[in-house]
Amino acid sequence: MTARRIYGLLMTLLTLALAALLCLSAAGFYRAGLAARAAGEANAPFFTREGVAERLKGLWPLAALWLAGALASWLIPALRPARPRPAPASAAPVPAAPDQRRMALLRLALLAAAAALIVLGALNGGALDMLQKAVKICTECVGLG
Amino acid sequence: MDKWKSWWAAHRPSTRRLVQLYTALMYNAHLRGFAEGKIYTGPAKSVCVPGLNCYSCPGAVAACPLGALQNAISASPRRPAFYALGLLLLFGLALGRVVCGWACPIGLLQELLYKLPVPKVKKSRFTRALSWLKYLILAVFVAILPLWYALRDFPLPAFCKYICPAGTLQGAVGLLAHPANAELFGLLGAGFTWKFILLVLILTASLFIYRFFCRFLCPLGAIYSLFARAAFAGVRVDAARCTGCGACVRCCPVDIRQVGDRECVHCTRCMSVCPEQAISLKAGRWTLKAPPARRSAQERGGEAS
Repeated sequence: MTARRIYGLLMTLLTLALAALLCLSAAGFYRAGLAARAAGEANAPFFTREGVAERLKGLWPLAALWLAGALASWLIPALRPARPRPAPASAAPVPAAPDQRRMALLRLALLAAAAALIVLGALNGGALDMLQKAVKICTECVGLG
Repeated sequence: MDKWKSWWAAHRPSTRRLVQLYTALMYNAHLRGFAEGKIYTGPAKSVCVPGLNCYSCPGAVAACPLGALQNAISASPRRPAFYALGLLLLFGLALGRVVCGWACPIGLLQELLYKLPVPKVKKSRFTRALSWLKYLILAVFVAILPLWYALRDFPLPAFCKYICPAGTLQGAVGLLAHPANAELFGLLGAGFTWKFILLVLILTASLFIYRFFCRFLCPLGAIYSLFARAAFAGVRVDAARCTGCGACVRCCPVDIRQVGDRECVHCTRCMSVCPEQAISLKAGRWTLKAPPARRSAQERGGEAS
């Protein structure tokens, strides 16, 4: 086994362990919150800043090891991944040259449609809608609630 | 000195990598937001950026195209979604999936993760079939579910809520990392737990599978892939030079059948392997990146010996 292979195996194990611990931590917080709520604390939070910080402190050594491993692979040529072997030989179809005139007409039509949609959208308040949504924290994106 | 030169030659970032880093920074140029834990609320947010970049990221200076589209669809019973569709049409027509390869922060992150020396999953018939999943996600989570709930007067950006890793990474982690947002922790529940686990799984998969999210899950890539033939910019094959040897398809890490098709993210990796120098990156008639100069037979002979 070459050093690269052993290193790759170790990094794989480290990555999987870190990912599993992160997932289990998140699930653990949620389960603890559910248990607290079932016990009668109707508004018990699932996550708290202190709780998350405490858990991250526990995961930090593993994360630091992973980061050091990633950095090592960048710095030490012997650990860098081997160039991937190309897929087995097979002929690819020669791409057909598009009809330039038709393509230009299509692009022009699509450009006109895009411009018309943007102008219509700006006039019907679509731009304002976008602004109003984007300047507030998106609860769905963040996962609040 | 020579040692450093060779180290630099091996580590020097490519033009594409620099463009990726620059666009990621430009999308998130409101650096004060990270220091204050607040999002930008200026007028630039009435326009969206072409790549996937959550507008709840403290640094984001513009809206996210997918979030904007879903919200426009949610509002469509009152107001047709002309604006968001027009912007997406414009981006798709101008750049197509060049956005994925050159101007998407999530794509950049996945490419950096893929550099780690762990075993890699190669492309196959299975990954090619799986690449259709993103169209299903586009139809269900970006179009049907938001529209279905909009008709019941309930706005639901389903992709943002259930899947989007950019929202979790940039929005949630970006905001929660700041002490000023400590009270947000109390509002986190099942939605965050699910999205966080999904984010970890997507990032982990990206170490083993090249651009896992872009190839199989990203509905924005699915939208831009519809412009594969019509997009103004992209890699183009000179049909007169191409011999159909297939070197380009073999070296490509994504599931293309030919250069520039719906799966191609225009990374230009194929340009350096084409023996006929038939591939170039073009925007209309302008050549943005020409194929590397052909080496003379003498040079090649010298290398072989």
